[in-house]
Amino acid sequence: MKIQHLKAYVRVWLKLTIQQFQSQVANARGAAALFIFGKLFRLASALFLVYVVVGKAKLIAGYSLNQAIFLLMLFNLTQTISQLFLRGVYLFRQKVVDGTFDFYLLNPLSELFYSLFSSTDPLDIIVSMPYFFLVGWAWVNTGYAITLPVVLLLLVIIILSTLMVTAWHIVIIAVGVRYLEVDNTVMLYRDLERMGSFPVSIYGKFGENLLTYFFPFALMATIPAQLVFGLFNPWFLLLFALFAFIQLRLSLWFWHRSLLSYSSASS
Amino acid sequence: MQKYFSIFQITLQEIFTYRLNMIMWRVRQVFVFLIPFFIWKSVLGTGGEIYGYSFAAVMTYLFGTTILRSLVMGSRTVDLGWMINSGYLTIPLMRPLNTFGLFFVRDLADKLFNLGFMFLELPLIYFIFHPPIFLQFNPLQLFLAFSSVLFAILIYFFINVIFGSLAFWSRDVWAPRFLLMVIMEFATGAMFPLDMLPQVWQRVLAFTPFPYLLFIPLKIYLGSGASAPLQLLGSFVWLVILGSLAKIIWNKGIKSYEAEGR
Repeated sequence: MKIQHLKAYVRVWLKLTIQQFQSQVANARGAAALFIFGKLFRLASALFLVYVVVGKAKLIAGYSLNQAIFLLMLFNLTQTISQLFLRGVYLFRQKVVDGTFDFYLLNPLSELFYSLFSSTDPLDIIVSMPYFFLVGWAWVNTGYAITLPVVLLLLVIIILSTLMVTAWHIVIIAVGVRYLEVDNTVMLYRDLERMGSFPVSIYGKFGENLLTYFFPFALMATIPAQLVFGLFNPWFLLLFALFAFIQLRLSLWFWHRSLLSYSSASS
Repeated sequence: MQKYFSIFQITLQEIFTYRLNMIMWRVRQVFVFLIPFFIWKSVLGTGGEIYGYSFAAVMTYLFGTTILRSLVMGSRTVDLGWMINSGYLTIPLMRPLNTFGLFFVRDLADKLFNLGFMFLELPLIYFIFHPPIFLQFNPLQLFLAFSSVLFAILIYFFINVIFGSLAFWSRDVWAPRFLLMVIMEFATGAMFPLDMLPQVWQRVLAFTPFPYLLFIPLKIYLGSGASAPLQLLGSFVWLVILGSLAKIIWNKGIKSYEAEGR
């Protein structure tokens, strides 16, 4: 992709996101407040579950209560960031069914760009701000020092997990193109993703390997937490970079294959 | 009656039309059990108790909520908001049918579908994970539990009608529904038994309809907790309140319905 193309994509994305924000301000201010409250309530109830389970048991898979809370906060942050730009997935089926997707195909910009990134919710950006502070607070409570190299490595992990999450979302919408059904597939993905909010070793050896090497869910919380606790060798991130590259290439291949079977369902 | 039976059949056919979506939905229901299973196994699998619950007791509870969840919370009425906003509601309104009856029959079809698949999935979960199962043989307790589940189904139906009816006045029904889903996940006892909460939280929740959806029917079945007839009375009171509220909101909303988009 040439640099002037990238500029066009950024400009279009900004325009679409601003329009989305204007629409929210004009039509659904109350709904936005409910949405933010819902997200905070969900985080609070997950925190409560950790407190109920680990607070009494003292340890979960070798992690203390403070460490488990840090892991949950990390998961919450990486999940929010990685999905920040991918909201289009939730509206994708409707676009295929009502024919809007045909217009994406006619557009000079990539149809994949519109399918994934056209519905970025500005509220997610606002909601993610306090999550950084919550991660910092939980990190301090674990007693491990916050150092620049570790913070930079965490940033690398977030980028890698975002790439892998994007690859999985491409696969999900490719399934949508093929079968005109995507809603429960994406919700199943979200259910699986929730497994990452606890140390992945609790799911047994098979589950742990699946969530680490196949899905990006260990990369969303367990691995960054292990890195902070000095239990993870950062050189292994090169291996995950390779995984992210392979997954992204495979997902793009699957997407292009799926487009060949698209038959313009409705328009 | 024949026309309602036809709607029942058509709803089932609709569910089976989108097969991939249907399969994914069922796989999700298995994961609803698996995730908490592993969490509790990691802390109680080697023995001990938390808040008076052993691993076996928590598993019985989880197994029960998995069954009840499919039965009580399987619903098609969640589409009501979309039907109003898209104008699709016009079609059932023009038919010689009781609209609430139509929605409820569609819900029943969804529940039958869930129940049918549960008979396939539950033995699978049982043979893989061996969760302890408690079978209740006391006929009175069984009757009370059955009544409680019936009330739970109706309470959930009316909650959906109320939240769906918000679309008569607002284009955005997804945000309130999202908030409702998040609160229900916690307050129905789907995440963990509500008697693990501090007393004050339990008392606050007792003043909401949510524990009557999963937690209380299951406690009545297990024969534990407070007096079952009293809990059943609480359930009935919520049913009357929500049923009346749903009727009032619906009647008000239908007057402002403009069939936009049709």
